[in-house]
Amino acid sequence: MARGFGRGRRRRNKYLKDDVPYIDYKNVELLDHFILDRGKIQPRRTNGNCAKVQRMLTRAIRRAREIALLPYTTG
Amino acid sequence: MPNLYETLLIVTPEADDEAVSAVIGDLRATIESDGGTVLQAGVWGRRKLAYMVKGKTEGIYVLIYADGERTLPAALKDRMKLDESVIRSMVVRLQNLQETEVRQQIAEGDDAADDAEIEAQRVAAERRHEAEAVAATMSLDEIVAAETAEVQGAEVAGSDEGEPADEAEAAGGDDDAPADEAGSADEADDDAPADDAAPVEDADDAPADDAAPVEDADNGPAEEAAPVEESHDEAPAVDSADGVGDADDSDDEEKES
Repeated sequence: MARGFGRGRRRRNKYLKDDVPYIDYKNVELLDHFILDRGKIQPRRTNGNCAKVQRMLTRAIRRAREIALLPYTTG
Repeated sequence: MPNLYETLLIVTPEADDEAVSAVIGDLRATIESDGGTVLQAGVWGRRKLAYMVKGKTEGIYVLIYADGERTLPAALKDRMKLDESVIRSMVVRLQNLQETEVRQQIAEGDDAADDAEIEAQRVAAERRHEAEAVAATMSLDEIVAAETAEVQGAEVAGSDEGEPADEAEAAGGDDDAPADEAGSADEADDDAPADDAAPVEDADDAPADDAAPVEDADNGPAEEAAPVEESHDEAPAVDSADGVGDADDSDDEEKES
């Protein structure tokens, strides 16, 4: 089994479908799934989001950071 | 067609309900003077901040939805910058699907309860303005008089507190009197724990000794499973126990690989 090189780790996203109309930056419970332990935004290659969703997600996370709902960094 | 703006701001956690209502009332006035209409305004919740903002770790989030022209966000930002109790704020324009959805939700949630809330906010804002006006009109003499009165009151309170403090000291003196006894007792105590500490280390060692037999015990069944003869012949030797342990480890490694 190939391990640690991305391949095989990519999977369909559990929390968001590709056709979500929008992502609300106030929905912290949802956004929390897409940030890493350090507070970084999870890359598309690991969460399997489509480009459009990832764009909305990034925007929502950045907005949430601005208003102290999510951290910029942790640890 | 006016735009729908969502304003989320953080009010300092020290603010009470009235102060928060006053802030909302102020912003309501700002929106209306800019030609916009407030669709919904209220407290979103009190929550921990993800990072410190102006030294605060907690804040009261206030959420306002308003229709307005493109000048509205700037007007709101300017107003919130002046208010010291607002520690962070953000104005976002909602579009397309999110806009229609939020409009629907507001339309559904619209009822008499909102009107009562609006009235409360307005009253709180008025009260705050009145208080400010009173402070402004208060003459210097009155302020000085009020301050001196406060200081006197504080002194009286201080002297009241002083007596019990003296008593406490006296009580402390009583304690000191048999201090020699206490001291000797302390010494005895100090020695005792020291003695205890040494045995405790021994005790630590003891479990370590226990641990070894325990390993033997664990290995017991393992030995039964495989090389039974050795253990019976050589007694519970540590070497054999280690050997069995190593054997187990190697098995695990094999499984992993």
